[in-house]
This record gives sequence, C-alpha cells and structure tokens, in this order.
Amino acid sequence: MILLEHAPALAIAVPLLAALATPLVSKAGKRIRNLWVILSLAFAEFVVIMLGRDVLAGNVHVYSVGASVPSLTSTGGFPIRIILVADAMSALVSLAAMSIALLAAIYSWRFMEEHHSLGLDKFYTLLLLLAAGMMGLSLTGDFFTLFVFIEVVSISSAGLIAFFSSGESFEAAFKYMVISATGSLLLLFGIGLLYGKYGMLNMAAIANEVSMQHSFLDIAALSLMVSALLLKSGSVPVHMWKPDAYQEAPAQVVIMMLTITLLSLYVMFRICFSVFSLVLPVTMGWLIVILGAMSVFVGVTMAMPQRNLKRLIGYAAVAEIGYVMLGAGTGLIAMPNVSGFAMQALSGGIFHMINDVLDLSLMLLAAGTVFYITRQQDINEVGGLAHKSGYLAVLFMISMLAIAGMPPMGGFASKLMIYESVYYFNPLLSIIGILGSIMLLAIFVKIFASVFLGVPYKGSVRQVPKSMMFAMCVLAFFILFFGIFPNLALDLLITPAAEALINPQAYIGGVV
Amino acid sequence: MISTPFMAVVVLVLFGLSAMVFKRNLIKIVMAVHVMGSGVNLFLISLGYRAGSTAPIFTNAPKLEMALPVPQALTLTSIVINIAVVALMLTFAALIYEHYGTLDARKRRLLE
Amino acid sequence: MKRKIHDTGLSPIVKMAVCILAVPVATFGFYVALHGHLTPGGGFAGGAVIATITAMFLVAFGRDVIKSQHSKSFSSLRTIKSIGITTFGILIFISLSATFLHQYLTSSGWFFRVTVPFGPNPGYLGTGGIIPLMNLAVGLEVVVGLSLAVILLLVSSKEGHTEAPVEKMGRREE
Repeated sequence: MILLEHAPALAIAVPLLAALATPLVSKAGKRIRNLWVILSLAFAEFVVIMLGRDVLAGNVHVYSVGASVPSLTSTGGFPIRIILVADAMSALVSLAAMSIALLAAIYSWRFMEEHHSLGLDKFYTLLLLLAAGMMGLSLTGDFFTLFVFIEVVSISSAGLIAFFSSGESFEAAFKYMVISATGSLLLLFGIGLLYGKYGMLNMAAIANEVSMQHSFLDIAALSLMVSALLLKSGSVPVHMWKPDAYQEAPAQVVIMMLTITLLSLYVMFRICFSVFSLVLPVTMGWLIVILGAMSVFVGVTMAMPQRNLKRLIGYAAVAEIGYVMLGAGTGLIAMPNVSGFAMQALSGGIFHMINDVLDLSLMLLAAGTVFYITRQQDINEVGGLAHKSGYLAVLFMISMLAIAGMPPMGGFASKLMIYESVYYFNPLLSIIGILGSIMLLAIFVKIFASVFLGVPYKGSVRQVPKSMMFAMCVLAFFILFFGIFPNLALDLLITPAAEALINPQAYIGGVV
Repeated sequence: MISTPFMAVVVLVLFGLSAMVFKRNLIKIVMAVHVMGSGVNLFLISLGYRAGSTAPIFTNAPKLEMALPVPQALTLTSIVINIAVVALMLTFAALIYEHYGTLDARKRRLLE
Repeated sequence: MKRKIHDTGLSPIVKMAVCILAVPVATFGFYVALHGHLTPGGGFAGGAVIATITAMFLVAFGRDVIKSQHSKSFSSLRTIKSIGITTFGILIFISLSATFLHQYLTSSGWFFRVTVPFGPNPGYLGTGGIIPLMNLAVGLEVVVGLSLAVILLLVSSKEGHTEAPVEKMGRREE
C-alpha cells in the first residue's frame, strides 16, 4: 500500500505542507483554518499509527527520501541518500509526539480564540511546523537531518514561547533561543568531527565503522553531542531555561515543549545505545545517572517556593527528566550486555518517558484551563474552583497522583520499575528518587488544596469549553489505562522498544 | 603543528563561548552566538579541502580533482539556519528594549 | 521621480543611483537563483541578493517612504510569501511521491528534463529536473520574507509604532 510504503516521509511532509499552506488557508476564515490544522494532524496521526503497527510486528522500516524504490538504501554498501529509519523505539516516540500535537491542536481551538488580535494564523503555522519538526526528529536516521530538525524545533518553539507579547515572554524566549543556539552549534561541531573522520553522515553506517576502529576523536564527538542534547532537554547543569519557558508559553505549547525534551532524550539514547554501543565509556552512564539524581533533587527543591503554577510545573518537569535519566543511565552502564535489572531499568526509563508526557501534559492542560476560566496565574489568588467545575478538579487530581507515582495511575508502574532496579544498582540513588516522589506529592497536594478547595474565588469564572475537556479526558483515559493494565503496555509497546535500543545489530542490519 | 583553518576555528569558538558567558549587553550576546556559528561553519568547510584541488563545479572546470562538495552543502544549510536564529534573537532583543528600557542582562524582573 | 524627493533620506544623486542600480542587482539575483544546479548559490542566496534592493531603498529614501503605507500592503506581501512557500511545499510532494506520478514527469521534452553529460562542460540550463522550480519558489519566498523582516524591524521601532500594532492583552497582574 502506498501509504505504508511512504509512511515515514508522509508523517513529516504532511504537517510541513499544512504549515506552509496555513497562511493561505486562513484567508478563507477561522473555522476552515482550525479544521485544516486538525485534519492534517489527524491524517499524520493515522499514518504514524499504521507505521507503528507495521514496525511493532518486528521489522525495521527504512525509507530513502526521493528514491525510485524507497527501500533501496545503498548501492555498493555506501549509503548516500537521506534515510529515515523507524524501528520500535522511533515508532513509539513518534506516536507519542504526534498524539500530543493533535491534542494540543484540539485544545487550542477554544483556548486561543480570545487572542485573535495577535495573529492566530501565525500561531497555527508555528504549531504545525513544530509538529513536523518533532516528527523529523523522531524518524531521522542521519546526523545532519538531526541537526536541521533540532533547529526547526528550536526556532518554532522560541517563536511560540513569545506569543503572548509581554516583556517577560520575550525575555524567556531570548534566553531559550540563546541556549538552544549554543547547543545546536555544539551538536554541529560534533557532527563535523564525525564526518571528518568517517566521511559519512548516516547513523547506521557510522555505527558499523565505529565498532571497528575507534579513537579519542569518537569520544570527543560523543561528548559534544551528548552535552548538546542534555542542553536541549533541560537536565540539571543547564536547566535554567525551563521554568521561564514553561511559565510564559501558552499551555498547549508547553506540552509540545515537554515532548521535545523527551525527543531530545530519545535522540541521546539512540546515539549512545545504537551508534556508539561498543565503544561507550562507562563514565557516560555514570554521568547520566548522577545528573539524573541531581535533576530530581534540584527540581523538587526549587519547586517548593513557587507561586506561579506553570513555573512550578516546569521545575517538576526537571525532576521527572531526572527519573528517566536514572533509569536509562543504569541501562547504559551495563552496555553492551544488558540483562536482568539493567533491562528492567531501561524499560522503566522508557515507560516513564511515555507516562511523563501523559501526566505532565494533563497537569499543564489543567493549569491552562484554570488560567482560561479565571485569568489569574498566581495560586494564592484563586481558590475553591472545585465548586465551579468538579470535572476539572478530578482531572487535576488524576494528574497529580500520576506524577507522584501513586497507584492506580501509570506513573506508579514505571516508577516502581525504576526504584527496584536502581536499588540493586546503587541504593542511595533509589532513595533520592523515592524522597523526590514524596516531596512532589506534598507540593502538589498543597497546590490542589489552594486552587480547588478552600475559599471560593471572588472573580468571574467561565465555563470550561468542551474541546479542552475532551483533550484532557483523552489524556486521563490513557493514564488510567497504563496504570490498570501496565503489562499490556509493557508487552506491546515498551519491551520491543527497549529490545530495539539494546540491539544495535538489528538497527545496522536493517539499513546497511 | 595544526594547520591554520583549524586554529582559527578554535579561536573563534572559544571567543564566542566566553563572550556569551561574560558579556552583559544582549546585543553582544547575540554577536557572540554569531561568531561561534561562523567558527563552526569554517570548521565544516575546511574539512572538505584536499591539497591542490579546485571548486567542485563541473561548468568549465579546469581539472577534475575537486574538493568535497558535501561539507559545502552542510555549511550552506548551517548559514541559513544561523541567519534565522540571529534574526529571531535580534527581534527579541529589540522588543525587550522596548518593554524594559534597558539592554542589560542583569536587570531582569522575571527570575525568582 | 523628482516630485518624490523629500527632505529625509540621502542626497538626490544617491536616490537616482539606487533606482538605476536596482535593475542589475535584480538580474544578478535572478541569475544566481535560476542557475542553482550549475553554480553555487541557489534559491536562498539569490533571494537574499534581491532582498538587498529593499534595504538599499530604505537607506536611500529614508524611513518615511514606508511609513506612509497602509498595513494592508503588509498582508498582501505576506500572501505572496505564502504563495511562494506553498509552491515549494507542493513541489516537495511531487518529488517525494515521484513513484506514482513518475510516469508523467520523466518523459523528456518536459520542462527541465535534459540528461547531463559527465565531466567539465559549459553549463546546460535545462538539466536540473525539479530543482530549478524549487529554487525559484524558495527565491520568491526569501525575497519577500527578508524584505518584510527588514521593513518590520526598521519601521516598528520605538517611535514608529503605527504599522503592526500588537495589543498586549493585559493578562498578567504584575
């Protein structure tokens, strides 16, 4: 079928074409523009679901862009085309990213209506560009395509952060753009080092060559690239842009930035596990584990005195990144023979990536809804919203329990896997993780009490629109589904992804 | 001894990084990012040079030994991306000046 | 042209020279954009060359030339830019899914489909395939985009806030 054969390229090209055509389509009216955005994202979601079903059946899906036969990658063993690769981990991550983009578009149907004087067609153009960039980032098989799509993602999200044109949002966007530009230049430097040594840019071909001959140049390139991707994902030494950016962006943009964080972590794992698998120094795994533990600690500690709701969620996001790095770093330390508790840690890390996206997105959408109905951002001002909208309180409580890792939400399963396996590895890190969860729960209980219970808010409170409620209910459904049936998710989605990550031979053999 | 383009690359990247960290004026930070971008572009181009070769263009080419064209394509892409990034940052700097009245990076109201 | 000389801007010699020089610069930019498959350059570089004409006009005639325009012309400029970039997007789709439109496009005698002889040769223009079309589309978009960027940055500065008003919705109580 044509759709399946061209699926990776279509998943990137359809949002891209929709983004480029949005200024023209929006001349025809508001409703047509909104429908255009949602329909193109829904079509891309359908393509990604079909790709995912094909890939999770076990075969690596390789696509050369613009070739007459799309699966012909190389003539004579030297790959010269731009190649998009979808194995189990890529399919999982791209499915998550596309679903979040679709939910963000549905949410912004009503949320952005009152800001129409700021130019909503530019907003939707940037949103679709961000979705296309995320797809490209998750499906790439080539280092330079990686650089291009990271820049696409940085530029469009910087534009979206500054959308509410207030002084603070420009400051947050400037800070984000400077840090992202530095990270991308460091990434390009590392890619240039690798190109200078091997003469190729293809990830699988370089993985083949690295295992045969490695020297200090590879370690230098690896450290440059990993530090650039850590910059982009906002873990501890370079987390300063996260709270400001999460505070200033509109709520649906923040959930897409959250997905970008996880996508950059995915790219880092792809580089560490599949490309540099045999020559990885053990220090790299230790570095990621220690930075993860520090992220948990710093995120939770700095989240306590915050008054602005989205800024607090930004710090909580820093802490959640720490959990993913704890789990996957333990798996990294045990490369190249990952088994037993290291495999459980890696699966827990990947599962927590998905759960993290779901819970933090739900909490962010709920925070955005609170802002929409009361027009206040300070949690000391609002109160007693549970009387006005009970459904919102229930959804907020679901997300709050999920982030803190309580059963029966999805966060409990992934956090339990991380705690158990990291405890075998080094008990101190696991204890830091558990303490972090407890403090997160305390912080969020305080917020819930002050926002939803207590003295009712004296200002005017609007009704929650149906489209926003629909988007939040979809997220809550998936959180509960992953919590009540975690073994379904593990068998179908997570374990193939973890297997694909620790098995670089399958990745290389599919391409070369 | 390292050949000259690579020494220039190291100097440019280090200047850019240190200026970005230590300078307070927002425009100087943007210039530092641009300088660092120029350093990385120079690095990419000088990777493709072979001794005694000409430009990789077939139109009226003097001889067939040519430098590598792939890093030149990468550099062109990187130049275009850097232009967009610097334009965006300068716009933000101009708008910050409108709202705050100052371009000093230490006089901010946002950080808590 | 004599009746448009205000007191702002540079001297009349510069204004005359800029008006005359616009033609060779535009030709050169179009040449660079069109021959992107033979010589270095291509869509982006050609578009950037043509966008310098806008900067030349802004410097020579002063800012008041642009200030007197209505903001409707900005939206028509944006429409032209989006036409250019949408053409580029559609060309992406044609070249991407070339396997099922392939039989319509590979018959030579179609525009830009001449095979290239190997080795040094004086450049033949018709050899690019779909690349010159993409170069032209990108060139159109870059011209309008860069010109808009220069105009908006220069005109919407602190004292000239009449062109692109951005309302602050007052959503923060700070």
